[in-house]
Amino acid sequence: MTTTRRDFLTAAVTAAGAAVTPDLAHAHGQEHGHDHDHQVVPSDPALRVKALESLLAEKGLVDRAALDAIVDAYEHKIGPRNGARIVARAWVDPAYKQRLLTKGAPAIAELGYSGPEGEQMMVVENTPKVHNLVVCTLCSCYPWPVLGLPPVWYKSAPYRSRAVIDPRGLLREFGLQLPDDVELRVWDSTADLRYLVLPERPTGSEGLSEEELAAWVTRDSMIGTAKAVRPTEESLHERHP
Amino acid sequence: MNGIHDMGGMQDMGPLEYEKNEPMFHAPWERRIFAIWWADDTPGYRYEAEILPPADYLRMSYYERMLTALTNLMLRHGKITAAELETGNPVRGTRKGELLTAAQVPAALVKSESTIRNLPITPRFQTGQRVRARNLNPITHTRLPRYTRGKIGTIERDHGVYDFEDAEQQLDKKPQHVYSVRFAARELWGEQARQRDFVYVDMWDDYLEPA
Repeated sequence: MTTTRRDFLTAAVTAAGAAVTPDLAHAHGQEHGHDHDHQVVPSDPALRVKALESLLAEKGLVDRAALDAIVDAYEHKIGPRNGARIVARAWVDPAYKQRLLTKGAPAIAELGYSGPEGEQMMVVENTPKVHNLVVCTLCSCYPWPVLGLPPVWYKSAPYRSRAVIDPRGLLREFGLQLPDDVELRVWDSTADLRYLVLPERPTGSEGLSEEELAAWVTRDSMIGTAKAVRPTEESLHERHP
Repeated sequence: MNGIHDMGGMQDMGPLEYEKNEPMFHAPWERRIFAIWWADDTPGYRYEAEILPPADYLRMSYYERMLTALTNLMLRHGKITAAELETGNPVRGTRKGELLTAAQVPAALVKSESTIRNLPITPRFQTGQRVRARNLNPITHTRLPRYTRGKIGTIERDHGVYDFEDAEQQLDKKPQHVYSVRFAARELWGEQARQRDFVYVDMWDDYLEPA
């Protein structure tokens, strides 16, 4: 039986155990002569976060009301509906689309969206002959003001590793089969620029208003893992802001 | 650093786990650590996350990594001490750092100051020029992915002058031009790659040499 790399990693993880802050645990063990099973930091992340937040609040380094406001914004206000409005505007207004493709951030700010992780924006356009896909192989860079916080899969090892070496295979897993004659451009967000894909306007969407068109624009179509599609009953009730 | 975080091009990392109608957060503690991280101003978070032990990095969820790396970063900078973390009681005179107040949050959420540096720095490369990504292997933070090193691409666009992220921890931020560099997938991965596939990577001047 051959050992795959994943078997090896599983073994390594088991060996690493739960000591997530080994230096700290070690220092504590020496200081008090406790055995090393006693951890300074509880392993349950919920307890660890609670302890950290309490300490920072006690020290005057964190304002709990500020944390509430930050969570509220990213959970209820800043999400892919913002990006969808940008795309819908670009579909109906050629002059706006030109500004958006030339200099992303100021055009996005015209609709009122700005903020961290959107200071420099590059918008890349899908056409019948070109498809764009966005990834951050090194981390999790993502255009927050227009898409909100990234989904778990975007930040995951399978997506980050495969997007640059096997993008067409990856897209097939998303249910998107690209024709052979389409040029595929993968954008690895390694510096300060953040990327938004301008999907193609689908056939069947003729004559719709800008607001109606926005419902055709999904989060995934703005990452490049899907195309814009006619909304379904389900997608109209998605919970993202 | 040639760490586990630099995973572009790795294979057999498992299936893509797609969650339909995924919530922004999966547990209340994820909300809190995200907000603490968002409000925090300690420099060097990315590197701190990159130096987590590789097995831990792969095992942990994104927000577990954030919790551990941010805690380690705050300890390293003396923002908190191990004793404080253990007892939960602040030690007097150890407060280091600024407080983001609730009143400041609305402005901070939409603050979009350009990171472009308005400096008269001449670009070393021109649009359309062939360039090679240098074979650099710093032990410190870098944004030069391993899969591009030594590979030849074309300057697609000059994005202007930005601080050099590799110099984040230094006093001299070494501002320089950043370019979008277009690499043919076949240049990166050989004949198995598709002829019509391209990878675009944003690269600072210091990563490049003429080809």
